Amino acid sequence: MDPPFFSAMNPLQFSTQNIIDGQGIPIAITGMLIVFCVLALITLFIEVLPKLTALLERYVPEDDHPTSPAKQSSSDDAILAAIAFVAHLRRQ
Amino acid sequence: MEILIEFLGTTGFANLTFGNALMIVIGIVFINLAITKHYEPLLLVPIGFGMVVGNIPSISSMALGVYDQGSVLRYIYFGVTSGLFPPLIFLGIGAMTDFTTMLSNPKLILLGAAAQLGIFLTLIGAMYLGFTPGEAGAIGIIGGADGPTAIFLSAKLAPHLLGAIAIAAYSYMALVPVIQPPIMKLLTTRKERLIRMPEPRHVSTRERIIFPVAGFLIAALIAPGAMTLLGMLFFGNLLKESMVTERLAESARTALIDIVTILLGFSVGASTQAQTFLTPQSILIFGLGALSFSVATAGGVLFAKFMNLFLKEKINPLIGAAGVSAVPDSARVVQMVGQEEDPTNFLLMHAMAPNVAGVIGSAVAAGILWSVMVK
Repeated sequence: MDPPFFSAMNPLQFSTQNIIDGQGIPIAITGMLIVFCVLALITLFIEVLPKLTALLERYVPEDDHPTSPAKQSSSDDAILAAIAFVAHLRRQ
Repeated sequence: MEILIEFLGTTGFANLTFGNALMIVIGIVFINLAITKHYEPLLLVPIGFGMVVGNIPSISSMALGVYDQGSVLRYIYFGVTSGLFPPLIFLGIGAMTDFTTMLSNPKLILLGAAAQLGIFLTLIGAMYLGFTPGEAGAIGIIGGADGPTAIFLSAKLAPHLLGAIAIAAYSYMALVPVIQPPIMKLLTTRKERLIRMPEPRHVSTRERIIFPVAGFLIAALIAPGAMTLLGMLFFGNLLKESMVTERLAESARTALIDIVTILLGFSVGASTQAQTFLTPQSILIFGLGALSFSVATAGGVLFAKFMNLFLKEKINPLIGAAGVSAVPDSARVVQMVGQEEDPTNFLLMHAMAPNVAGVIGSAVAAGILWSVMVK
């Protein structure tokens, strides 16, 4: 026999009692409050972040140089090779 | 001859039900929408093709389908049911997210919180319809418009509804350009839509490096249930912003997220076998998902209008619609609707702030629901 087009799972019963039994409203209000609290705290932190970084800057200045070494281009390599070659010739 | 007849009895044609055929057609519609309308093609093509594959009737003695013990598809689907794939996607999202606009105008973060209203109102609606609290929580998260979060939470709270919730979440994410504009226009006046936003301030490298660590600590210490998703999101962002792990950030935002998206989309699609997917519950989930998504959009827009009552420098309330975390589609929709009124008004950059805040907000909401429902 073919399986039914709509398989029957748990029958749903529409009722406001379900919300009361499942504590739907307290969960929704608490959840929304916590989401707002988290994002409001992040907002406050970001508001003070520029002042915090300015304070940090006084004691630990931000490095102007890039943190990873700059890549040497092939032309740099060529110049270095030329200098090394001249230095080698002079020594000889 | 007997072997031939026996073989014919095992073919898909012999065992195809009306439900399977319908799901195959829906899968083809998804693929068509992705290719012709460009609705979230990176998601809808894998999901659509997965739906086609998952609805080929399998042979009972062979492990072929997602739900068959030992099948290859089941192993792939394990990444979904175990909740493994969503955090990996969050890692990639973190590595490609630029929090600069959010850091330059932090009050816009609150719009990302307001848009989570859809999640909690839908939770109540789903409970009214008779879903258990766990199921209602998993359905409500569709309003976050965040596919990975919806999958993560439903894998934990209502694994039997995972297919329907995942398909609903990704469908509404794909339909952002269709669902959001009418709500945005209905709730705003032309004058409001013309509001221009101030130029964002410069954000230093140090601020961008500190934020992922501090932001994670604030969110995870309050809602530890969101630790996995937010941990990966902020870790990915730190890889990007620290500038010393560029290779890792590059892998996370390209190869890793692409591989996981393919596996997740395809296996979620393949999980929509008609026999388990076509239920009255699935139809209710789709209805509730649409409601959730619409309420979330309205929540963001209305909260922006509410904030304008107290702000000297007004916010364009269209930006509130980007509080749903469909990144970056809802921000693009804000730009599109704003430019319909004034083509020289560029809202995209500003809309990215509530958009990424929405990602954090929906992950926090998922964490809260998970910790409340699992007792």
